[in-house]
Amino acid sequence: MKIERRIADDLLILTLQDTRIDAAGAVPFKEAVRQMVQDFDDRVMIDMTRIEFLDSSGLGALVAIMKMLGGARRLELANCGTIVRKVLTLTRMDSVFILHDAAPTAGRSAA
Amino acid sequence: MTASRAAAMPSPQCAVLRSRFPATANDVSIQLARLHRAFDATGLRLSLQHDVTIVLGEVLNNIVEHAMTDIGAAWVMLEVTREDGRLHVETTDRGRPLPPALLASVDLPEAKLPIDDLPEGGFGWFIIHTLTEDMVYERQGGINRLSFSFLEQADEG
Repeated sequence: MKIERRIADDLLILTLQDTRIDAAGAVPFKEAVRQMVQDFDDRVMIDMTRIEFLDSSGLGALVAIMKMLGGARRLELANCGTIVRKVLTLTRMDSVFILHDAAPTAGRSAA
Repeated sequence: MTASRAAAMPSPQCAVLRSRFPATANDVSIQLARLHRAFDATGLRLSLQHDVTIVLGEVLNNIVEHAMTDIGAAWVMLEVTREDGRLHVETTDRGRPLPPALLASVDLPEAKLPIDDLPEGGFGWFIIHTLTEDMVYERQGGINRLSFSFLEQADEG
């Protein structure tokens, strides 16, 4: 999965370029994010704007990513679409992640 | 709908999608994308399209992950059809039988836990049971058949 990485103040923003987080791509997605968040110990936000579909494997990957952050850091998700919100709400994982309507637009590229 | 001709004369069955594809996660992605495009032409309400897609993603991935593990070159058949005001979905495969416990009921994994103890799986069947009312499973002649349906019009109230 292609992911754009940028930093805005204390926040690392990962913008997903694909349209799905599903069983077919969950493992490579998790690995790609693992490399991007290592050595960063502040807030991490995933911009979900382009994601049209999330399944239970994709949800599991998001939980695994939050565990990678270690300690008490919660993974933040921005601009979740209808299906993503529905899956999060049904499984009550909407209370586990920090949800935002939109990601901050500022920030410098950290590729 | 008033006392309608539709009730007196059942509408003919109309296929939204019929396909046969290899039981792999990649092929499931491809089929769900095909379904998305097929739905565009139907004018069905979006919340119905979303629910069907979410449930079907879980059902198909379950077939790929659990029912087929020991069988090479396995195929899945998928049919999505409209009939009498309902959208019907049926999958068939020749994988292992489904564990009966999954069909009865499934608890939601606990969400109020420390981060390190949160579940990373076990959501699939909970999602399926929550969004469907009439899931039927049959095993006959080595074939699994799962079917479920949704009302095309949203329930009022």
